[in-house]
Amino acid sequence: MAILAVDDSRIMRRLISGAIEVLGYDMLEAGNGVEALEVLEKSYEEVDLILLDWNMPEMDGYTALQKIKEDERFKEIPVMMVTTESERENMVKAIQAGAKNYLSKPFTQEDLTSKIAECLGMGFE
Amino acid sequence: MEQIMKLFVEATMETFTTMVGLTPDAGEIEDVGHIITPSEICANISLSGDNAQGATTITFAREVAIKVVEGFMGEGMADSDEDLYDALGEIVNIIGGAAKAKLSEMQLKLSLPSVTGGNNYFLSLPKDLPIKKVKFTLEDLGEMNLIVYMKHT
Repeated sequence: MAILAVDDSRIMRRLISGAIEVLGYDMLEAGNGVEALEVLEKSYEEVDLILLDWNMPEMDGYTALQKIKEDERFKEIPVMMVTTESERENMVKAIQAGAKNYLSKPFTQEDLTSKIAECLGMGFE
Repeated sequence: MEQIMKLFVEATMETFTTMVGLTPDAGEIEDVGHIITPSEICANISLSGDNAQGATTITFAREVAIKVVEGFMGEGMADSDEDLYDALGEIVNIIGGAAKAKLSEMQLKLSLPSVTGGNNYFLSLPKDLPIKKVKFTLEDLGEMNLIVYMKHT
């Protein structure tokens, strides 16, 4: 039972880990889209949710989302974008590409935890 | 440019209130020259589009930056320069993203952030762009400057 957090900021991944721990999941991590696909190659069977930043070096989150949704092995794993890209146009683009949910930065830790719980179909107060 | 600066100030207020847990007090908008002598640490992100280009920079004294990152992440989290700079890059990224959303008609794209630290250096900013600055008081932590330069054609 794990959540893959993909963000080029190690500090942001650490912040996300707090919410993941509260929900009782393990965290896998990657610093960009290329690393995320590498983690999925090895561990996709244990991943219940992918949290994906948009602006990252090497491969951005939107490209990674498209690749995840094109791969038969990964495409059923829900993806939530966690990003500074908060324009409606980008939200629509990500949802059309297969993202299940979208959280814009800045957010509170409570926002993050409840959005993750929502993606996982868990109740969270 | 005055209106654009106000939107960056709003974005900064939202970012600090939501993610750092403090309410900054914004000073007046000032015009500044293209040579800036920043505080010890500055975090920068560029915004560019077909009809606009510019950037925003936040600058702090090191001890203020450490306290801001502790507010962002929790105490003792900024225990290395790498973590400190990573967190400040993320904070300016969030400010830039929030401002970009407020300026959505410009269809801007964000660069990846960069962070510079040290003493006795200066920033030479583009001479052809208007440069604005606002000094924020961060409750009892100290001060931060927000610098924005942008050209919209």
